[in-house]
Amino acid sequence: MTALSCADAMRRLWEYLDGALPEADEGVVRQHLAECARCRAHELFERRLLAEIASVRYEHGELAALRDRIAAALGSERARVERSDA
Amino acid sequence: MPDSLIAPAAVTDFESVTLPYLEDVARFALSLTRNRADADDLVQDTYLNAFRGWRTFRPGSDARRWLFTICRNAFLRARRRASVLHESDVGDLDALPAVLGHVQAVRDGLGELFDLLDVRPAIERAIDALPEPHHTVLVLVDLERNSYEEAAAILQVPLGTVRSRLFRARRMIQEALIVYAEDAGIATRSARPTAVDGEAG
Repeated sequence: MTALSCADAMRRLWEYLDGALPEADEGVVRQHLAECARCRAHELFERRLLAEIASVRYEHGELAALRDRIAAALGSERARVERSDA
Repeated sequence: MPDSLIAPAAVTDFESVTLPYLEDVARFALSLTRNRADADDLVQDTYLNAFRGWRTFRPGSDARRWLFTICRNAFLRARRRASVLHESDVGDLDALPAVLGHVQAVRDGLGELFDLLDVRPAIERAIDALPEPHHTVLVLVDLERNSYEEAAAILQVPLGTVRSRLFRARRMIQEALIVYAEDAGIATRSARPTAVDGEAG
């Protein structure tokens, strides 16, 4: 059996899936998941959950109009700066 | 530094460096405000603030991260004008990242949840319902694909704070999904586990 308990493996699961664990810890969690079917089921569930969350994108949609608006705002700001220089 | 020191060449640099990230900033602003008109105002504030602070940008550094930081700060300033922010990090509770939610879910027979239900609407609603500051962290890491370190830099908070807020946000989404599945008749909630060790093997 691995040195890691199921509870400890689960505590580190999200960091493991995010690739945020130190290499040594990642190896220990990976080994536990390879040997523990119950934790592997949890891992699959969490992978699906994170994939579903990541699939949500707040698409803005009308970038051309926004780009024009930003360009105009920057132009006004630039003119203000130049007036203050004069 | 006075405005007169913003040279025309620097203005050109500003636009060439920052405008390629307009779509990213707009998406981030929309995820923060959850409203198109407010998002557009926030993007404009972000770019004007960035322009005025252009001298603080270090050439070669991460312009996207810099813009996200400015956007987030502008968002918080606007929110402070409207209401008081309530921090709600809960220490040890947040230190239990995946355990309670998915142990509960699998125990309730929700292992096949994603195959049985269209969970997208429930997840979108759950993300929109997340309170600040948890919502912003989840957007930065899970939707905008920033690392924990990048999110910490944008939010100007310690790495551990990013981790605890992110995990709490994910747990709230899990909980919302379980309720969604129950409402759909997929599962009946069992007694909530009181300790992680109860599941340990």
